[in-house]
Amino acid sequence: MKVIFLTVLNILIIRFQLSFYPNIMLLEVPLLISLYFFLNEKTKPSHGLFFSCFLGLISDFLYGYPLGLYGFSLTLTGYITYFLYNKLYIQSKIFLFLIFFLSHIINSSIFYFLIKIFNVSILRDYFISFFFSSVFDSLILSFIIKKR
Amino acid sequence: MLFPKKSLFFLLISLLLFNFFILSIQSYSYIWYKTFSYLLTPAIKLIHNITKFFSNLFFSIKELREAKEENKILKEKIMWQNLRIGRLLLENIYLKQLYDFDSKPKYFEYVEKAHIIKMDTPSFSSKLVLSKGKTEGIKEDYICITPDGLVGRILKVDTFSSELLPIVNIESVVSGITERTGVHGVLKGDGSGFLELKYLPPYSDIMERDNIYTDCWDLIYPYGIKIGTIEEIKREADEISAKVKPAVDFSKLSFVYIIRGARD
Repeated sequence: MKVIFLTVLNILIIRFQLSFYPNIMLLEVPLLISLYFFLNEKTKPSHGLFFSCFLGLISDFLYGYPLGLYGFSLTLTGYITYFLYNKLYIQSKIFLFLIFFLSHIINSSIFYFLIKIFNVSILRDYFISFFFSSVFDSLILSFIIKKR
Repeated sequence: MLFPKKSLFFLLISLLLFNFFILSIQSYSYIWYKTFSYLLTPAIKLIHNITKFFSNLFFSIKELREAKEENKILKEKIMWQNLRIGRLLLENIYLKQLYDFDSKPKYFEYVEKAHIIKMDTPSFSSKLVLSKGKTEGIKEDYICITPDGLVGRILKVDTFSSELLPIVNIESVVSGITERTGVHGVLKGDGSGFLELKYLPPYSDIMERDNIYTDCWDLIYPYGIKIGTIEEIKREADEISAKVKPAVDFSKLSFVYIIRGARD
């Protein structure tokens, strides 16, 4: 149920974003939702991986990217963030914020790397709003997700 | 332990590979092109170089053969051109002589150009038949010359031809004067292609290589036409005679210019 809800939410937000603010991306919605799901206490990590992959493919479809672009980056970023989240001793929200910020950097790096490898042309300028979306996402996530 | 669970790690790898595979399928043309071009470029370059080497080799051989043939043709062409240039040079020299001749004053009044069409005997000392006659206005005692000098005079005229008596004929008599000292004398043909300068007083100042011109005393030949050059002087007790080589080369004579004689 939760999966369906989050997926529909993801679709709606992306559609809303593309309809009204196609060139500005203040939130990296797929990453935000997948990390939220992945790092939830009740979620199994394998489910988290599957969900990240699934959400990534849906996002690719919605943004008009080649399928697998977001799928690959979200799956890997989700796993790395999950790994860091579990291995590191998180003392404060700031530390949590930094982890999410780092995960955004990783996600963008993978994204950029794939774009270069497969010579994909992206209409939307993904990297211009990278900083703002990273900050906002990290802030939201650090408030939503509990520190361990 | 680096990874929490092995199964999770394998799942991650599987999902990543799955995404990568989907991505590759969509961009397969580009990525395969890149991969293959990277792998095959050295081999293609090698094949290209080998092919190029052999094609160049064969082309060079073919080109060499063509160049040889072309060279042969060009050499032949050059030979013919050289011959033509030689002919033109000769013609040029001859025309220049004609021009000089034409620009002389006009007791050399030009009448006709006539070709020699017949010889009485096979020698230029004999009488010659010219291609022009009465119809062209030729008269007896008209003078035949070439740019080199005096040839002879018209002896007899027919309707379409005329008879030329060369100065080297034994019947021919020409009055001449030496250019250097102005000594007058009579030149007679000796029948062997030369003339004999006769009736000179023993004190006459003549030398070998003196040029002799007509002096108009015979009232046939106009003044100032070159007859020839003294080759040999024979001194006797009461007179001097000289062997004169005619200015005109009778062996090469093929046409003459006919001018009015001194009587006209």
